[in-house]
Amino acid sequence: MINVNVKKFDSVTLVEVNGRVDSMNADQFGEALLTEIDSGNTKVVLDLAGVDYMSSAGLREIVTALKKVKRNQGDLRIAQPSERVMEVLEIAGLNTIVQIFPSQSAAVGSYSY
Amino acid sequence: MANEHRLRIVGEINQVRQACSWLVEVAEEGGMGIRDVNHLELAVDEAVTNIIEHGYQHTGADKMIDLVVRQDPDFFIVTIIDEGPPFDPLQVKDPDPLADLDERPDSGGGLGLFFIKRMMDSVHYEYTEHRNHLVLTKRRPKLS
Repeated sequence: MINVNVKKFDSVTLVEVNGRVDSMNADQFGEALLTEIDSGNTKVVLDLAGVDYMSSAGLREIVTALKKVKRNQGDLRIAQPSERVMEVLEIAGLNTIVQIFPSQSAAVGSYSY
Repeated sequence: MANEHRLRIVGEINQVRQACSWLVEVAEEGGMGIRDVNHLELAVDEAVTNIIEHGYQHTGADKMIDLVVRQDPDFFIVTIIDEGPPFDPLQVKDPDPLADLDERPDSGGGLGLFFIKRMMDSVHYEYTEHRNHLVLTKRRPKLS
């Protein structure tokens, strides 16, 4: 199972995910993101430092969440993906539609500009 | 020189990780590098998940998936065999990695199959003896 921690930094919602994200638990991963977005949070950071593996099932959930938060005039930004997760983000071209930051503080701080 | 490993799993989503773990173990024992092992794991995950979510979606229970690994000094070859309706993943149009967000389907639009093609050096499909055979080949790095 994945483990999800949610923290608030002023108006920014930080969603930290740990574990393997695949077809077994992608629904749980997506629901965690949509719960925050549906609660009215529009500045979302998804911290993937603790995710050691992500298949296309996880990427689908990111795309769905990104669409929803954009409809709410918000954004979802990714922080510190591992090299392995970054590779699948790049192959899928998610790096062209999602801002990706090397650290949690950079991603959270990016909303102040 | 060729050696062979086999695994049979039930075609259910909770079996995918077992297939991945087995594949990783065989690939590591077979001397594949970490990056190649990672690519093989993702390709097998996507292929097996696709069979379960699509090929076996409307079929009865107890459908099986067979995985066969054959290795030689040059290649690491995984064949994935299922009993679903004939389906050639190579005929599925690749998603556009540069597509705008609004153009990306929530269903993924063939992203898993795209990963398989990108992760492997070659992918071959055939339908024989009433079964789909997807052959994933990774070339071994040349020893210098």
